[in-house]
Amino acid sequence: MEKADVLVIARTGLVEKLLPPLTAKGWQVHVCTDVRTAVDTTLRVRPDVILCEDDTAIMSGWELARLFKSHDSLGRVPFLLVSSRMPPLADMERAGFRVSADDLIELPADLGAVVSRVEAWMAGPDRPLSLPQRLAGPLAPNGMIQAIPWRRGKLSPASLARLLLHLANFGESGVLRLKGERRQLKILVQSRSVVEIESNYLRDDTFGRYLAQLGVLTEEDGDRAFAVAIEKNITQSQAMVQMNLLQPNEADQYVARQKIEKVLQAFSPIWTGSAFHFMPERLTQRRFSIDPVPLIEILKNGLLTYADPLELAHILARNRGDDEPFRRADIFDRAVADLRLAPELRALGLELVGKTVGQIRQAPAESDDTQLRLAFLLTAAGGLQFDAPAPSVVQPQAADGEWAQYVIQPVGAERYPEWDLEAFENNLLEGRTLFNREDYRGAQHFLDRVLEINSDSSEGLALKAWCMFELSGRQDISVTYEAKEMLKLAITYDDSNDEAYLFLGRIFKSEGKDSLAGAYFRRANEVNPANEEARREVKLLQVKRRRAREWERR
Amino acid sequence: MTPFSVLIIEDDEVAAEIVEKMVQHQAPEARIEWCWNGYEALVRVKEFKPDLIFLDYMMPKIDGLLFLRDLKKLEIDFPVQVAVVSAYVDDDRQREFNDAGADYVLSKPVSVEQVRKILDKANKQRKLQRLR
Repeated sequence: MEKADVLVIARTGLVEKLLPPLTAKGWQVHVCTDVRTAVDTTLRVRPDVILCEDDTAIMSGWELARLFKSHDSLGRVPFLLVSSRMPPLADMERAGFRVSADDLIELPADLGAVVSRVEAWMAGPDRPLSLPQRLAGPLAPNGMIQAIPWRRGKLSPASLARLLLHLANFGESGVLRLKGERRQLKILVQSRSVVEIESNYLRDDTFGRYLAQLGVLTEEDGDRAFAVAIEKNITQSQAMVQMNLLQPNEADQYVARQKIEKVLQAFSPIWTGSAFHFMPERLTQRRFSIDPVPLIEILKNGLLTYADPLELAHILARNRGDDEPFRRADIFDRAVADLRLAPELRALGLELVGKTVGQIRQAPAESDDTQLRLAFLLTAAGGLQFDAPAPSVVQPQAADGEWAQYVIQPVGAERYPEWDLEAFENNLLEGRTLFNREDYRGAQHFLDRVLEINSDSSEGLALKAWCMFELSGRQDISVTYEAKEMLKLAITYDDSNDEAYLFLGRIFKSEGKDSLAGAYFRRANEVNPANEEARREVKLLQVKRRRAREWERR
Repeated sequence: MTPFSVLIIEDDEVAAEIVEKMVQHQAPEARIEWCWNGYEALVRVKEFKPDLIFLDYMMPKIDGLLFLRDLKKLEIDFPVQVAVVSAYVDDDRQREFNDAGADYVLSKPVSVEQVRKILDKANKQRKLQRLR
C-alpha cells in the first residue's frame, strides 16, 4: 500500500494506545489532542482517514464530525468516530439518529479491529458504505453526509417508500403532512392504515370533473351539479344526491376514492421536492370520513401506477449505476409477504434477479414499466439488493491478529446506558400527544423519560424546552434561559429540527426580540416548509414590521 | 440579484439583537441570521453564504479568532467580509485580527454610524466582486 496519512484526534491516553498498531502498518500518524487545531491540521496534512475520539474536550467528536461534513474541503476525508457502545443500527434508524461520521468504532474494541477498520476506509472504491447511507436505507442518495430521518424531508418516491414502510412495519399512529408550493395534504395514520385525508386543493368543483373522467357521470351532469351546489351553497356530492345522480353511499365512496387518489399522486413528479413531516400522535378522533386504506396498498399502488418510471430508474441508477445486477435478498419472501404481492408479481420479481437497471430499462415497452416499478418496490422493501454490496462490517485481517489481544475500554459513562427503543418511542408518542393537547406538565413527565433514555434526542429536547417555558418560563427568566440553551443544543444535535427553531423564535418574540425571532421563524420554515406555524409566524412578523414602518411615516 | 445577507455571530443575544436591529434599519431587505457561537457559524456559513459577518471575539467553543482562521482555510466559494467586534481593541489586537483575515475591527459598543459605513463598504465590495 502507498504511504498513507492517518489523523488521530484524541486525548493523550487513547493516542498512546492507537499509535503503535497504526505506525506498525507503515502509516504516517498525525496527532491532535486539541480539537481546536483539528481543522488546521486536517487541511495541512490532508489525511486519508481521520480517527476521532467521541469524548473530546471543548467539542465532542460528534460535533466535530458534523462540522467537518458540512464543508467540502474537510468532508471528503473519511471520519471514523471512536465511541462508546451505540444502539443497534436498526434502532438508530427508527429513532432518527442524526449521524455525520462515516463509521463508528464502538468501545470496547481490540486494536486489530481498529486497524482493520481504518484500512477498509483507505481502500478507495471498495470502501464500506457510510453510516449515514446505511441508516438511510437502500435507496439513499450517493455521497450522503448526514443521516436523514425517515419522518421528515423532501418528497421523492424513495423517501415516501421509506416513510410508508416504516409506518407499516411499526404501526405508528400520527399525522403526516405534505406541503408543496400550492398543495397541502394532511393524512391521519392509524393501525398501519390511512384513516383520514384533508386537502386544501380537494375542492368541490373538481368532483364533477373527476366523476366524468371515471365515466360515472357525463360532463353536462357534472356542470349541472356544480351550478346547483353553488346556488344552494352545498357540496357537489350533496347536489348530486339531491339530483338523484348518485346514491348517498355511492357519493361517499367516490369522495373517499378521490381523496385516496390525491395521496397516491404524492408519488408523481408534481410532488417531488415538496416537504413532508410525520408527527407521531395518539389519535383521539373516533369517526373518519373514509374506510381505512392499508399503507402497504398506498405504497404499492403509488409506485406501481403513479410514480414516474424515469424518476424511479434515475433513483435506482444513482446508487449503483446502470450496470449492477439485482440479487435476491435473504428476506425476499418476507418482503413479498409484507407487500402482499400477487403470485404473478412475485414471479416477475424473481425474474429481475441477475438483471441490471439498464437491462430492465431496455426491455420491451409493454413490460418495461412494471419490471422497473417492481424492482424499485422490492429494493425499497429490502427484497432485492444490488449485487456486490459494499461491506458494512469489516472483518479484521489475519495480519492484525497480534493486536487483537489489546482491547481499548471505554472511558467515562456509557452514552446510552438505558437504551430501550420501545420505551423511547412510547414515551415520545405519549409526550407528543399530551404536548399537542397543551398538557405541558403531563408531556414533561414522558419527555423526561425520553431524555433519560436518549439524552441527545433533539426532538425530546425541543419539546421539553417548550414545556418548561410554558410552565414557568414566562415568570422565571432562569427557566427561559435554560429553555433557550436546551433549544440551541437541540439544533446542534439536529439542525433540521424545525420545531427547535420555531420554539426559540417564539421565546425571542415573547421577549420582544422580534428581529432574532424573525430569523428563527424563517429558518424553521426553510428547513421544513410543511411547518405551517412557522410560516404563520413569519407572516405575522412581516405584518407587524409593515405596520411599524407605516406608523413611523405618520 | 440575491438579497444582501448578514450573519451575526455573538453569544450574547441582546448584543446580537442590537446589531441585527441596526442592520435591519440600514438595509431593510437584508437577510439576517444569528449564530450563538463560532462552531454553529462554521457549520452554517457554507449554506447561508453571507456577504458580511459581524463576529464577536469572546465566544465559547470556537472563539472569534479561531473562527476567522478556520473560515479562511475552509475554501468557501463565495466572497465574504468580516467585521470583528471586540470589547477591547488595541494596535496589537487589531493587527492580530487583520492578519487572521478580518476586514473591519470595531470596539464595543458598536454605533449605528459604524454599522452604516461597514454595510456601505461591504455592499460596494459585493458589487465590485460581481463585476469581476
